[in-house]
Amino acid sequence: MDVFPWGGSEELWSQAAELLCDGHQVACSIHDWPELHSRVLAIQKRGAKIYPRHSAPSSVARLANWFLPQRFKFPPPNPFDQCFNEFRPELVIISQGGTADGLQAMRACQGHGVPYVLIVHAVPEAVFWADDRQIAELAPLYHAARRVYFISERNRHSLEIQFAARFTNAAIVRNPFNVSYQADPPWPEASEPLRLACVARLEFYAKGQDLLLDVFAQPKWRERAVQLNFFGTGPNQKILQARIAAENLNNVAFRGFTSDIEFVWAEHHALVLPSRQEGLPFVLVEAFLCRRPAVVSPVGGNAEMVRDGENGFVARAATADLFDEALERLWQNRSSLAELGKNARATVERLVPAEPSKRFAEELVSLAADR
Amino acid sequence: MYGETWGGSEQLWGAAAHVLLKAEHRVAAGVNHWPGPRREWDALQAAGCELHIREYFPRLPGRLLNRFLSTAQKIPAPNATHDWLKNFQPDLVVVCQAWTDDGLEIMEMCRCHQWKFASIVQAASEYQWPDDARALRLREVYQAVCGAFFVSRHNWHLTEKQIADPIARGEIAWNPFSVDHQKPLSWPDENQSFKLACVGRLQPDAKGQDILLQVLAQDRWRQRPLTVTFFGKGVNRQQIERLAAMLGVKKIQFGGFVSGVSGIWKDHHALVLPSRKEGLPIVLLEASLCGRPAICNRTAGVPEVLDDGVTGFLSAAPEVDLFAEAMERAWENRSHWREMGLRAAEKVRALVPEKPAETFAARLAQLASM
Repeated sequence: MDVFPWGGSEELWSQAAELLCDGHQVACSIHDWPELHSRVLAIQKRGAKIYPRHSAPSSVARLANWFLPQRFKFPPPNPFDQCFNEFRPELVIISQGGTADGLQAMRACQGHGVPYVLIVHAVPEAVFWADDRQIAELAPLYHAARRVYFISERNRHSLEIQFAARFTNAAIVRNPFNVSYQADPPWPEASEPLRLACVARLEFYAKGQDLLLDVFAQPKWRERAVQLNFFGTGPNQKILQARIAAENLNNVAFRGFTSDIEFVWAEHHALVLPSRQEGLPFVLVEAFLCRRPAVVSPVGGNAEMVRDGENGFVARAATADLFDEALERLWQNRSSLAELGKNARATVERLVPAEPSKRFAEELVSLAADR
Repeated sequence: MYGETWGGSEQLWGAAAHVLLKAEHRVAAGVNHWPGPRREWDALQAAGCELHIREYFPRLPGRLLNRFLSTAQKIPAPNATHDWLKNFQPDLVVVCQAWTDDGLEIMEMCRCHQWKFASIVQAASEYQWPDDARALRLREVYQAVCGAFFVSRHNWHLTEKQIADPIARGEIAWNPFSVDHQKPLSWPDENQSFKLACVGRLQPDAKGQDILLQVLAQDRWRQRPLTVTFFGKGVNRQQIERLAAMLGVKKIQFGGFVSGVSGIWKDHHALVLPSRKEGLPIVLLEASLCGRPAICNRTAGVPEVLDDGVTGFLSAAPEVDLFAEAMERAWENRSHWREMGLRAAEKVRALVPEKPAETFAARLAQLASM
């Protein structure tokens, strides 16, 4: 959590931490943001200790550093020391957005001889691979973890390929979601136009919204009774809007950020999500809970959840051509989407527990006890 | 030019600079400070090129003073680009970039000083997008550029999508290659086994060597008389070796870094390149000109020079199952590799100029005098 104060990958640890405040002592070591996020404040209120990680040397050391050559400068203090020395944890949970952001925390655990578990929220395949030197340090730290939690099987497989090692301590964990487990938004009344929603951070390298623009620029899709709505916010929002306008995509619209996911599904028939990398998308689980089928690329856990023709459609890769093929299958099956949505609900009930954070918290307790 | 003194992205401007120097143009080059060997820089200087090495930080007194100065007053690192460019009074500035927006700040500076400038982009990828703020700035510079050179149409059009604006002055530049343009090599003996070469930086997040290893780990490939040699060096060499061991892939070897690729193609039958990101792989042009078919992904400019089923085999995307299908089709057609290789040579010869650096230098001279 060094880049954004709060993202999807903060839900699991923070919800589990809040639950564990009942009957356990909890401390959170978090990035030194100018102010604490409201969710962190809530955990603090429940009795948890919060340790912001200071990464700059003390003011005296900083002053001395001005005059010292590079080699003799005072290094920044280990931002975890204070937490370890005061709180003396029995088990540390290191929650990472990617595969290497918890390195310093892993080192600290090893240095203090404290057992730890890792959560890996996503394993990018085409963006950043640790190099030989980094793998030599990271791999033993992964193997030494009490457990390495992945969000999907494909993520686990990808990291095994990247580290050229099997993880015997791997497990799958499910993220919490932002709709009620009993959610049952009504099916949209009008069957035409077919209403599709792409709900995701507007960050094309990861979420691939640009592929949908390429597909919907084709005459075939321009002429069909279909409406595609983008929900979300992010660093590529202006470019998304500019392209919708410049290419006259009349059946495509940007609808901004919304946190009311059930309302989104009350007016849409299916989720479309052409991601280039994923763990297991929240929005996919949420769409399935709301009985909506999904068209997805095969990255992350998507193909573990979506079965082509049964509860949605899986493109063979995140490219415009292959996503177009999957969307075409959706279009040809548009009269049976409610049926696919029912199957989607059955799938999600089988694969995702009603209270993922509670289950995770229980696992942590048994791991801490089992020393 | 970041991270390496002389990578694939440096070939084009370096070679063009030599051509222009020979034709008695005044040429100056600004490069980033790099502690490694500087053979190519020395050669440029010896040919009469003014070389300016950009430092990353100001000298010590400057660094100390900067502690007390406001941002606007701070002392810059020595050899700032605009200082020497101002003295040089260029007719044309060529901003050579590995990725789409590496040179944004320099291009903005040229625009602000009203120096005529051209850009080269050596690679663009769907996995790398400028954010809104940078995209809008890029839009401005691409409207002001006098020539925007890309190594493939894919890269050109992707950049247009990334800034949501057409790049009217876009054109294609071909990178120099180090094999004979005219004469394909003779076909290697295929009685023992088929030999594939995977030529590229040993860095799977870009070149996808892991995808190939996962295909070779499948039972059917273990049985086949085929070996793969990995040529190149890179930061993931050990990882690739250990992955091969973990997957139990035996029929591979490492050929290291080779400077004359003709040597590779004398005794290899085909190129296999499962890249995730590219501009236009020079190794594909070289393999083709040597008369070798290729098995690649539809990444970046690859499908612009490789016809599926005619001069090689294309996988729709860098996914293991899709690449396995392309490999399977290649194997079924192995008796045609030789003729496909000849067609590849013919196709690439027709596309690519015999002397890309000369062609590019002539175009730059034309832009400078316009």
